[in-house]
Amino acid sequence: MTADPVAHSSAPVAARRWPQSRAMLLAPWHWTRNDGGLWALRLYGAVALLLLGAPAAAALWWMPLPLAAVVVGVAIFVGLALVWGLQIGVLLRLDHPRVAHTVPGHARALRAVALGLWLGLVALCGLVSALAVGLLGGDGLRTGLVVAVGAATLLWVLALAIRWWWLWVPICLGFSFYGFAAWRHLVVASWAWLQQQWQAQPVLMTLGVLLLQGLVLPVIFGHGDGRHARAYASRERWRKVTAASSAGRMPAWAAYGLWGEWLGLPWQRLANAWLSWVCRQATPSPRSVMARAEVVMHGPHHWVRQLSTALLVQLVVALCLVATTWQTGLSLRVLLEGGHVGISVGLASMALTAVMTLPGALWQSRREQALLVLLPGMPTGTALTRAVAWRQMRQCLWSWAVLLPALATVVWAGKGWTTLAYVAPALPLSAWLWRDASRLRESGQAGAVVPILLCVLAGGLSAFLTSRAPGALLPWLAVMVLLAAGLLAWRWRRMLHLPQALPAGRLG
Amino acid sequence: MNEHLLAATTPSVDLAGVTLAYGNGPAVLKGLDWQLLPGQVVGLLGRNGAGKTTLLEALLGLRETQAGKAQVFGQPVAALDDATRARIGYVPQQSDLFDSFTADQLLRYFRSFYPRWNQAKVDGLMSRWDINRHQRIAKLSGGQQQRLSIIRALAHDPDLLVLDEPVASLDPAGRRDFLRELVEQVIERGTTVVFSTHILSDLERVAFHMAFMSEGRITLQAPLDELLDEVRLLSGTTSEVQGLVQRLGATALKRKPLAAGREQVLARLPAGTQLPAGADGEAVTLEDLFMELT
Repeated sequence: MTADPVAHSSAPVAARRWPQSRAMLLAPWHWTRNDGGLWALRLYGAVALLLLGAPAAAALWWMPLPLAAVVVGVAIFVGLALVWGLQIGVLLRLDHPRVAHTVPGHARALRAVALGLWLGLVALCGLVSALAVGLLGGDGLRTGLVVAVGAATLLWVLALAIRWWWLWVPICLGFSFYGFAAWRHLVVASWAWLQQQWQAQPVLMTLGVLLLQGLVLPVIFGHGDGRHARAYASRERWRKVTAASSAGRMPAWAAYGLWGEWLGLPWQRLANAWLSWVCRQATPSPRSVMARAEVVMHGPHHWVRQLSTALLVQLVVALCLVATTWQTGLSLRVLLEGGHVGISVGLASMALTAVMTLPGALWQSRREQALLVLLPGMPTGTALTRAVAWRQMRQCLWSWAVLLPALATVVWAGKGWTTLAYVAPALPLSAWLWRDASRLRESGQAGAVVPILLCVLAGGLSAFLTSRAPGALLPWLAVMVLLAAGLLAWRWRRMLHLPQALPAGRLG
Repeated sequence: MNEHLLAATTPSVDLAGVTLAYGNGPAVLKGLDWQLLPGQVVGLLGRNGAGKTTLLEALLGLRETQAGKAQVFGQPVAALDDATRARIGYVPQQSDLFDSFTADQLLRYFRSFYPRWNQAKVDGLMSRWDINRHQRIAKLSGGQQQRLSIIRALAHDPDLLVLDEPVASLDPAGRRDFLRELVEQVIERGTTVVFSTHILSDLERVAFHMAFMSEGRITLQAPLDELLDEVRLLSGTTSEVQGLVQRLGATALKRKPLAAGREQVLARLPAGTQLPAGADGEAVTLEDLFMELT
């Protein structure tokens, strides 16, 4: 007997669904493994475990049991919500419009997996809390129902907000405007009404809420029509933008779609004006040639765009501060003192912008650089390597120069010494710019995270130490300046022995 | 030496013993020798992954070689002076470059670098190829991007034009236009042209020389009409075929053993040699040569 060349599955529908569901549920794991990112998944998992496990363990150790049980329950729920968010993100990526349109049962399987997982998590939360409260001598059923309905709602909202990102806006606004009396009264009254209804019919209300949410949840998936295709394309664009941003490759405004393009128009005009200017003033001198080459090399991270953005951000923050002092009557000094941690982080990030973005920009423009190096007038060899390095460092110095007024204002406000100590380690990190560009590789998330992590850690540590010993601030600043000078001098000399910088990444 | 004579005798491109590998991987170019003489129009043929792009990049100095010598107009490619760079035009494989510029900005940008710029040619081609000057390159179609890339490379009237699959995204009309431009404007000027493509009919129209690339080397380079006249696919028993090759003084380019002691040999006969009556020898097409030699 010969085997049928075309295999027809004779298994019942229910038996076929499990492999489908299993493949969908395991997709996050498989994709991460295929991308070689298992170490990152383990790292993030360990960090999440630490961040959630430590408070839970501390609560069990120090708090009374009922309160500790609540802390442990919240920690477990946050962990489950993270898994749920990850899974929904993957299911939405699997929800490709062409597949939905052409593969029988695919859309149905996605909906079933999402619903099943949601119900499973809700049941788990409800049962565990009911059992725990029951064991502690409380009303287990009631608690289980409350937890189930609460968990269901939170997970449901999370799924919808992952599908429609703009839902975060009303959610955030809802919390932000809680201070307004009218809104607060409305929220409180609605909450009281819901509580009253639930108290009257807890089981019925819970089932009703779950049924309603269960009916709505599948709408996050599409039907394979034009609307689905547009929504999927938009989500993919956002996903790519987010992935690129988290890997230190800030995309151009146009990558955000039409809105992004529209918002980026002023910067585009500014960049066009600069391009026209440098082309009009063109001479064969290396300076003029490099100024033109820089437009292409640094692309969306060209200094004209970066500095104008930094100035705009500072202007907006200044206007917000002025408006707040005017509205609240609080002095600027008090506001700056209160927000010095956020301001320190913001200033350090802005100081690191060039370091974070320019290597990525070089990588992105590497194909264009193949044409640039063939242009008459372009320096070659070490001269080119140093010219590129100088252009990068100049941009970094400009970023610092633009920050100085803000830094001076914060120092004037009183808590500024801590801010200075926090920002100072960004200075020696500038040497990170002067890597061997010819061996540059595409920056991954880890590559992008390292300098930020170093800056945050060193900044936090130095701010902590100098707040304990304020007299150490000036020597500390001097050490940072000397360290930066030493590192840069070493790298500058090292460039003599490096291959020509452009095209970047060709030896990587 | 007379400058004119020097220019005429110096190869436009001279590669000798060039070896290039990526990282610790196998060598892509293995001791490759290649010369392009002034005014030659050479079609570079090779299978996917044969290393054509690497070769074109290496001859322009965009890739460091591990061994060998690479010169363009008599200068080492690692240190080309400005005058030499002004004589080179390059169309890379990717045409979606400089995508945040408009077409007009791109051309003004490149114009600012070159001492010579044929604006009349640019205007003519822009209007003939119907490219919107004020459209961002990212929003042009693939074919239009490729046309713009070609205009940019032709605009400074280069003496050496390196084209890496320049017509891949063009429709037949676009390809015909491009080839016409190449023949009328570029080749007539005596420009040395090397271009890689998989569209053999295009090569037959304009390339007078063919270079076949395989296993990291140029295995054969010759004028196309000579190849079509002189290369024959000989079949017969091994002894018959070998005897025929020896008798005619032919060069065996490729041997393929067949069943029952028979053999097929792709052989290049000396110029003007005719096959003796009764000999089993077939004429070949460019496609046959591509299949057998790459």
